[in-house]
Amino acid sequence: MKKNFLNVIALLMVIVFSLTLFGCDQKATEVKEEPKKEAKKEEPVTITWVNWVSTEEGTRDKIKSVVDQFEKDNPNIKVDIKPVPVSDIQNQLTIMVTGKNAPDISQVHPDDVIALAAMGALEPVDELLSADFKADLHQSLLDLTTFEGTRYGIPWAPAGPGFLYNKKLMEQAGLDPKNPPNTIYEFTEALEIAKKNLPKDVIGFQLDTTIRTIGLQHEWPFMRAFGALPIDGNNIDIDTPEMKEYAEWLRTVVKNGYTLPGKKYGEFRPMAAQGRLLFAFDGSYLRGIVTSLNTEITDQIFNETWGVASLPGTKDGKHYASPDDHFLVAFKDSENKEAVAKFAEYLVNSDYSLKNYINPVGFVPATKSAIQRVPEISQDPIRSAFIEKIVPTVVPLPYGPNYSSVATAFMAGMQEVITTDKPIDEILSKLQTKVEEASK
Amino acid sequence: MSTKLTKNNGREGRWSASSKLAAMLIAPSLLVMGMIILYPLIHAVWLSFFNYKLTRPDDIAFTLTKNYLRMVQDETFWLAVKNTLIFTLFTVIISLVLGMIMAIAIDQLPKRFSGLRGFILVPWVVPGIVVGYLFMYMFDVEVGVVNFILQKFQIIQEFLPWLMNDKLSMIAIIIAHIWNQTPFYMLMFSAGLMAIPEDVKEAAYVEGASRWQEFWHITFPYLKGIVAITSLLMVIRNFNNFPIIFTMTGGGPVYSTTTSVIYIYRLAFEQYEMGYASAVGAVWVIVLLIVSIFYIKALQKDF
Repeated sequence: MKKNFLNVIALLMVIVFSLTLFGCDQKATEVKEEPKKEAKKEEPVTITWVNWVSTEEGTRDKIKSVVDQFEKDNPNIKVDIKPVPVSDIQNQLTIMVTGKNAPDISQVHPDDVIALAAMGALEPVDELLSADFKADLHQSLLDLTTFEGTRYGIPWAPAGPGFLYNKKLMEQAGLDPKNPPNTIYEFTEALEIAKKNLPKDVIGFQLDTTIRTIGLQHEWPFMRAFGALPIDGNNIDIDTPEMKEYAEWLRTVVKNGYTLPGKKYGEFRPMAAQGRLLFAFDGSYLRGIVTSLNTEITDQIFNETWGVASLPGTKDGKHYASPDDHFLVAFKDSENKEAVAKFAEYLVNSDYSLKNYINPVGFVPATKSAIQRVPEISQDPIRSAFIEKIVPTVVPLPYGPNYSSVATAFMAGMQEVITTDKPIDEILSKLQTKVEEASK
Repeated sequence: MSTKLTKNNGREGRWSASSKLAAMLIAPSLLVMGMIILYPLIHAVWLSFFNYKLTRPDDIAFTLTKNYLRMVQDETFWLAVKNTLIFTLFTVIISLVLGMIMAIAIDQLPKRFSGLRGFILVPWVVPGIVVGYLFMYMFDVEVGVVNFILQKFQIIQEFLPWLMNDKLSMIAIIIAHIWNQTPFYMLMFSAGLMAIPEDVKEAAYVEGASRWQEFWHITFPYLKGIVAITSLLMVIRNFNNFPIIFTMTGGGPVYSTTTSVIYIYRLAFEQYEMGYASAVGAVWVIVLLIVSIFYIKALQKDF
């Protein structure tokens, strides 16, 4: 009898304990929910913004000042910055979206826009942005991230890599700084001469050889300079003489020490700041980063040291550049879309952002009216050269829902070229099959 | 759980009141733990039967064995298995031998040096991600101290791309793991050495045993159990090792340092192939379970 009584007491304790737990949870939810309903009208909203510019030394402080100013101008909106390194951005966003924990807004690359749009995670921009703002944006940029007829990306800071050459180092190497290499063959010849004549610690050129989508974007113009077009929509054409020529060139430039293998292209920037990089393939914002990394280099010194030219082209002088524009995307699950749109437009087009972020970092503005409102943008020789020589040569990359798989498979093949002695034909033949599989 | 069935008033198989009480009190925590541990496992196995790519939510389909059949033909999967075995074998054997040598060496030192054990433990307590970054810079092709030292001693002429050469990169990650894991073995062996009765050692000296004979016939038999248990424990740990490899090489160059867990990560979070990644994960869980059975048996064995 006593034992039965004990059992009943124990059972009751378990039930009461469990109910209390559920009850507490329920109560907590109720307590949380009540003020939330009222808060929507009166209390400030907080939007979460995932970006990589807050992780990088060259842009961190400048973007913080823009966010601070935005919060001052819009006291009802707080921005919760979530810094994520550039190479992890797509990965982190995919995890966040899958875990139903998407941010309100994020900085992304154009290929990320398509991947996230294919996942159904994004809010179309046509419904989000104001008509005036949309009309002011460069339409070619706005159209770059169209997926199944709908536009999802908000162009923020066009930043495709251009060809920057260090005039002082060229002179030191016995090259003519007024006549930078025009074709890929002249470029290779210049590297050969520079290797002989420059100190050992000078790196010939900046090339991203990592297994990342950015790696493909960085190497794409070089492939095109050899006449190769390995992926064109659904057409995979890797095992070709043009690609073979490119792969052999890639193996040679690494073996001869013209570039450092396995580096992310951002890892070459400190070398540029130390005056140890001959040719850079970077965005127009390189000046902003270099001057931040080395405070002895002023804008004037940078402009005197570095020149901009079209990327080394084909034998017959055709030049190619790839897009690497910084975009913003709004997430479909965001409860604060109005605040998101306001913040996005502020980042892209406010006078404060243009003067304190876009201009000093060295980006090309995404809106047409920006140059009239901030004239110093057009007075900048580096940016003018980008607008004149690089932007017209930009060609699209094979973006699509499988772009990440395709790009990583492709770049694994390119790494095989530079890290092994396997015959190029064998590597390319296998790569053809692998990329075909990845694209399915 | 060690709840025992006891005889209650002669009725076999009935639970005693205290057992029932214990079971009821444990039940909520078991339920919560079951959900935390079993749900992800079952869900992963369930996902492994699907063609499930995160970037193609419109193309999710039940395929039953497709992912498993793909695995059999997937060269990269088998390369990852091979890399895991090479990496684990070398890391465990070298760390174990070094750990034992260090423990014996420290055991011979006067008592005032006993604090040295704590100092040597530092690499073990350093987080994997920090170890990864440390060694990544040490093996860097441009500024790495390893190249600098090797060149100073004229072992190499040009700096080597340690992390960008398909053969050197595996050596680099094994060295980093040995540095990280050797102190653990040293700690375990130090504890084992302290448990050897002094009179047994003294008897050996009296009988005129050499240092080698003493090690082989007295010290090592006492350490055999520790060798078995720590090795199995570290085999399980290294089969699952992620942070150092990921930080140093990301599994590259190409797939030369891609171990099974790195491959699962690359499939899931670089290529977003959740179905196939789950299938590889499920197979790997089975492999780990088998090794764990050996480990548990080793724990129960009297060495």
